[in-house]
Amino acid sequence: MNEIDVLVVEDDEADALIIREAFEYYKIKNRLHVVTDGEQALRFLRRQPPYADAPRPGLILLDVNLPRRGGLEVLAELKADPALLMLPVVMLTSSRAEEDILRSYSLHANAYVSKPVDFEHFIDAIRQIDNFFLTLVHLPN
Amino acid sequence: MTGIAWVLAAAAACLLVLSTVLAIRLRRTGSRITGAVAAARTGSTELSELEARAADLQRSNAELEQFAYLASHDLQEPLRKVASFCQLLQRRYAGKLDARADQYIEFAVDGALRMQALINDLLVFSRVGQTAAQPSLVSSDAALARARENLAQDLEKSGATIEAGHLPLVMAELPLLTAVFQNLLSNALKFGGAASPRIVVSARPDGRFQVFSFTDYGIGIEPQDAERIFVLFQRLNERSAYPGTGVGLAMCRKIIEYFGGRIWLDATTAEGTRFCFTLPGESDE
Repeated sequence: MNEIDVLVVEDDEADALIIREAFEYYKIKNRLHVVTDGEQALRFLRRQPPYADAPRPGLILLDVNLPRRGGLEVLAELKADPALLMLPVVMLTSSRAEEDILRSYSLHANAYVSKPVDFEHFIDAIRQIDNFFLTLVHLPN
Repeated sequence: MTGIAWVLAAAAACLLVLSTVLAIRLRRTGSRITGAVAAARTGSTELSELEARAADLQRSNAELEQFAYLASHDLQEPLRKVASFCQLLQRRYAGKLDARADQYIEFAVDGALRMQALINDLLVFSRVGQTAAQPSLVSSDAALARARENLAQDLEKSGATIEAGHLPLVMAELPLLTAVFQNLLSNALKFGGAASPRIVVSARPDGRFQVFSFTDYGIGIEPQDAERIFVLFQRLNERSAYPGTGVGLAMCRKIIEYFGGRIWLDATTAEGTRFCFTLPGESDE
């Protein structure tokens, strides 16, 4: 199977590391790219400097609470951009606020996942997200 | 390794401060009520002053709830990190350092997980009565059935038998009533003594209330502990023999009182433990 690029937009270094560990633990072959704020995420996706050579990711894991441009703002911008709107976006966040869930889906997020408090559940959630979006479902090429 | 110890110590300190503040404020609230009642008895206090005190009390309680909620919610996030990375250390390096390091890591993981359980329970505890839901007539049969479902694995493992007749409709909320049954059931399993503990649940009407009784034939509780068991974080037994956070019965009391009932330990039972609680039933009109 081809390695697929996954973009993680996460300002929390520890959580980004846990996601990386989960990929390693489950021997997920896909390549991880981590950016730490919404501005960088949009630059990465639009291949603007310093991300001129960035690959087009097959999946985006997007935190809600991000510095500068928040996750919901990034989501709105992606889904309004014809070149990007088909990329599957999973909101991965510690927020369980009903309002964030509602706003994410009304902005066409593909899924909303609360970061599980338990470590085992957290890495299992990463495995399941990866498996569902990058193995199970058919996405447009 | 010292880094983890520091973080754990800091988190433990937070929890300690939190519970102390809770305890102090609850005590203060209690003495205010006593003061207000005494004033009412002597008739020396104007009604308006009493009302002002009641409002004050209500506000202080609301603040307290809010505080417990926010503190437990905000503590969860950093604690998740501590627990996660302790577990990662364990996964990656168990058996690769030395025996002492393995033990340090084991204690760190154990401490972090226990604190996580405490904070989760505290969060659930502080949420009782905070939702928009209103009490309505619910089936206590259904609540018991749900509690049994949630504990299906433990019930099966212990080989427990539950004897319950038909249970009445009461004014409550199903999730909260389920939590009461679940806490009592899980206590009965934990302290049920011998293999295949026996649990008897029944209810009888008393005026406009229904009186439930919940009996196990296990190790029992000394009468002098009858009040202490309902206090938040209070535990009577060694943690190694009987794990738990000490939130269960405090939560039961909070829920039952929220619906206008009472819960107590029935000391008249000769063997095992019997809890009784009341809930408003179907009104006659």
